[in-house]
Amino acid sequence: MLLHIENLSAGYGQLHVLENISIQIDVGEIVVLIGPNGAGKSTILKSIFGLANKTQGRILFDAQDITSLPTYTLIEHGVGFVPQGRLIFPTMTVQENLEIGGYLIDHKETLVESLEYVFGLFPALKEKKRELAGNLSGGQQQQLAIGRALMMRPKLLMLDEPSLGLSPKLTHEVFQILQKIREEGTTLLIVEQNVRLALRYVDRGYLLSNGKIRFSGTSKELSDEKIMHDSYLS
Amino acid sequence: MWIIAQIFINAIIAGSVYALVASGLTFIYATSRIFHLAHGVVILFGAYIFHFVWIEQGLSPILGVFLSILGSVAVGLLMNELIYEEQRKRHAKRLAYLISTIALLMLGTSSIILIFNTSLKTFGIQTTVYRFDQLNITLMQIILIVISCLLLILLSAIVKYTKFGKAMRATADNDEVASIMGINTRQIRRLSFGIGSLLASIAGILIGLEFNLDPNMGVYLALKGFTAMVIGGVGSINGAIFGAFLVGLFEQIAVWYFGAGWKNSITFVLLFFFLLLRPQGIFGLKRFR
Repeated sequence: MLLHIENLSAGYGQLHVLENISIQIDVGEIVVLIGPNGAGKSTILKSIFGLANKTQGRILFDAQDITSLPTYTLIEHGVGFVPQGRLIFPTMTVQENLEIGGYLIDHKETLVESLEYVFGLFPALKEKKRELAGNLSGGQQQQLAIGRALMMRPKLLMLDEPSLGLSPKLTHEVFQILQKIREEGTTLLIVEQNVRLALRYVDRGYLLSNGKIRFSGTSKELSDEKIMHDSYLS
Repeated sequence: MWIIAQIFINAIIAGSVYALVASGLTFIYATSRIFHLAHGVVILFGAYIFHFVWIEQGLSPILGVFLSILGSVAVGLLMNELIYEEQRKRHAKRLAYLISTIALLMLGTSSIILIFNTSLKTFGIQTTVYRFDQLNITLMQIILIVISCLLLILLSAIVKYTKFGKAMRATADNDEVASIMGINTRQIRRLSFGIGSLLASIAGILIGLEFNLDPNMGVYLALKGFTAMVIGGVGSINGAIFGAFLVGLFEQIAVWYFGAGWKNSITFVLLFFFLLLRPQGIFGLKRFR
């Protein structure tokens, strides 16, 4: 098991969002977190990254307890995170953004290798490597955000709504790239509003509402499930 | 004609000191989002320590520069660690930082009066004066301009090319995402306060050598640095440097045409002008949020 969240409760200040959540992810899986707005999907990712207040529970990654690690140490352990809203560094160039993604890489050759890997996945970024990231199109900014998180070659990559603000065509492209990344050995945990589309690409999912897990199963089970039908697909 | 040239020379002299102040403030603002007005006191500590070691104790000026840098950096770092970082832990709002920086500015000014007393400090340095027709510039002023420019060029290079510079810019763009990328943003803030305070001590030394020292200068220096920052576009180092020279220029024009009493007031006229009409500054790289 790569990631094991045990009985997690978390929130922000006085606000309680998550209640007793347990999630398990194996190496090589693509898992999606779905549910209505405010269900607490993003809070799960933020809790893993030390960006929400945890009041209860434990998070194990690769059999190590990472529950109370500070945010900046997680990438070192192999957890990458693409936060919601394509938060690239707008005043820095594309290449500088990627170099920040590889901030902890000490060897120049390793950094160059990682850059080549990302440019291989996203050729458009290579062409624009000297441009300011803020001037890229929405789709390219999302590519940059994903590429930046891949610079450290994480074991687990978490993405918060990668389809947000993208056209259906671009969203498909993003998910196709994500599948490719999985085939190369990275495990993926994705929060997604676009359920219908996400279920076509993922193995399993958890359905959340009001801070609790309501259902978990394979993507086929999630598509068939009656609760799902009531809340989304109708 | 020579009057205009002399005004320009004086503006460059004043501007290069303000540029050190403004770029230090920008470093600090960019990574911490604090308008560190207490920076004025950090400058003064540098200046007074230098005066104390060299003039009052009669020790070597090199030792004076060294202790001055040490003192300013220590004061700057302590302000950050003991006050700002503690506030950050408690999720302080921006107004709370502003109130504590004003309190630190007042506390620091009083400490300087207590430690070094209120008397005007002069260095009384004899320096060669170069005359070109009716233009005057002293050797000391040339040295001042050269030191400032070298430091500013070095600083721009650090920001642009070094790993720390990139981490600093990433933290300035979005500190949460920077920490997700593995950057210890608290460390980056600490370094920014360190570098900013180092620049403050150099500015203090140069101010002492060129003008005189009095304990109430701190607030004016901080506000001039702040104005330069707003003029250039908050968050941009090059903008702050440009703004600093503009503040220097307006100051000298005011002194020449309206009298010395206008030296400090003109800065605030400029500040209001920009805050009201162009709050994003001339370069407008960052929104003034």
